[in-house]
Amino acid sequence: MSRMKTVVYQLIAISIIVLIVFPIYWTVITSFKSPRAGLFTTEFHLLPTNLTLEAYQYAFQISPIFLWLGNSLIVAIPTIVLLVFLVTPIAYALSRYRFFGRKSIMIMFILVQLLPIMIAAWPLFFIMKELHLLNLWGLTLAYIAMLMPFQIINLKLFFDTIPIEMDETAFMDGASLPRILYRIILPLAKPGLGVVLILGFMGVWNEYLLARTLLLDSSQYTFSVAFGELGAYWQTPWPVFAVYSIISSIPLLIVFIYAQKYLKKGIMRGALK
Amino acid sequence: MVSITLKSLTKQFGKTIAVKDLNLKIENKEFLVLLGPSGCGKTTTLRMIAGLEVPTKGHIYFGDKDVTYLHPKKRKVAMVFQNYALFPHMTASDNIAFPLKIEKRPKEEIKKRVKEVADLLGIEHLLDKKPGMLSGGEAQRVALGRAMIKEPDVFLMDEPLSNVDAKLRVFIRGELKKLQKDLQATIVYVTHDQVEAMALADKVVVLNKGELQQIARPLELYHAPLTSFVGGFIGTPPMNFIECSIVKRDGRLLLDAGNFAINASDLPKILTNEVTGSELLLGIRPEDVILKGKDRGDFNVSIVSFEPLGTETIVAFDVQGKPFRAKAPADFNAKIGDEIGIKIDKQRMYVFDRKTDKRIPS
Repeated sequence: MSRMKTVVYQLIAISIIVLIVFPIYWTVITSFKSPRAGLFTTEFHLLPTNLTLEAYQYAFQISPIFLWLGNSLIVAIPTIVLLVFLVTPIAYALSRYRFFGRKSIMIMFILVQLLPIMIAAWPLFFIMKELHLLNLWGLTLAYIAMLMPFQIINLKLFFDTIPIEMDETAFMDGASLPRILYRIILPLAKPGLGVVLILGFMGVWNEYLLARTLLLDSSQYTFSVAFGELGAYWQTPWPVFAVYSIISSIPLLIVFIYAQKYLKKGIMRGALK
Repeated sequence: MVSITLKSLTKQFGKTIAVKDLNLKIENKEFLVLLGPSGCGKTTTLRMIAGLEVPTKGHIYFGDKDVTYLHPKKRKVAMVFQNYALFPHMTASDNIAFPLKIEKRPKEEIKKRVKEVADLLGIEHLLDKKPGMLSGGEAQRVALGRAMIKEPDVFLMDEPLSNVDAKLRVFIRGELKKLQKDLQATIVYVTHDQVEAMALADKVVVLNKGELQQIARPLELYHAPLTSFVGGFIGTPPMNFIECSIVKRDGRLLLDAGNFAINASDLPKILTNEVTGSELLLGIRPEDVILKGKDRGDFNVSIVSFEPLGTETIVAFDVQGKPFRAKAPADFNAKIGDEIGIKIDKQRMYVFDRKTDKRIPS
């Protein structure tokens, strides 16, 4: 019975792994196929045949791929930096101080998550148009606004786990508030910051709707918008598509690898007791 | 070095009164312990002295100076928290040096002072370790070092030993007392552990529900509790209480406790004069209970539990629905259910007024 159970569990686990890994594998394989093989191919080979780098050459030739990647980074990096900068003091205040309206503010932050971004897209378009911000800077502002509520709650919950005696000890020694926040609390909140970093970067990197709405000039397209355009208008061959997919995942991978060391648990070990 | 005076100190959190009209003087170089159960206001009092809480009413003076609204760093106090509150991302050495770094003292001076403090506490070998690698006792010393390096006028300690295991606690207790004498420090120490309070304090302040119960030296607290709360709080096992009233029956004085009555003809005179007829609470310490054979004491009880501890045996009975304990010799031999007589030494008995909770002095 238990042997049967094990086998069943293993089968389920394997199917899940296949479901996740196979598309990645298929993308990688496809990127090494010849783009001239036809737009849509009905052939199916599990193992690759005739590997070639043509699709990679093609991808870099026909499209300003580095411009798009650059645009995405121009949005993503300031978004993350400003996000951390803005979210930290707000989350700290919500975690440490009891003031009038504190609960309402937190409930509001949670409620706005429920609204789909579609609702905000058109009004944002008109606001940004009036402000002459229908460009990457406007998009950055929109992203910060989009990400802040969740990240504030996220970091606030993390700050809650850091004992207030940390603040009080430093306060009694005469440390200023910024010093307490940035030199004591923030280093202890690294796992929380790691979450802000990863989710924030992913949110920005994969975001399509706002970028599509707020960016008019194709030279300002972020990668996700350009990616959509490629399929719609440019009749891009599959292998080239696969190349774009792979290239667009690389920055995400780098951020993940960088941020995961912050997520390691146990940093708080020994702070107490 | 200063003395601390609390004048009509009151702290309210919303509708709850945490500390009520507390007046207290802490002498220079005194080891003062604030003692009470959780929620009695002892920690709040300490935090007001530290400057972490602002009193709702009343004033705090260091010497002649009113410090009620002064920033903690200007009070020259150092606090040791129950959970040590060491910064986990800094080494022990950086933790100890932190107060001086904030003051931007020169690097050489900081290094020298850290070494001095570490020397004194015997923790030189721990300086490069992070708090996560320290044992409870070691972390405790580092926290103490961080307080000492400031050379404060007053040390404030909030249950600093409650996270240390029992054996080490006794050891550190001794060290702490020695350290206080060596440093000639004024210490205000909060604890709920009466043994700790008795062992450490020059003077104990007992609080309950935000109200002052008694200020006294440890032994005075034991021998002359002012309220039944203090009587019940100090001593292990706790003091036994019997609800009763003094009545005169057939020309004899009796302590009527409902099911039984105790002959009170040998009761100190002052008591009988003052309180005849009123509702009383008798307090008898387990060590003052005299065990006799059946019918040979003031009243009979049956044994409900029996704890041989080696040095002595704790025997418990049921009196008025509450446990009543006695300390018997180590070789005391009896079975659960056995009936025995209890004799009460009227000279060593405490009598409290049940209405005011105050002790009636004899």
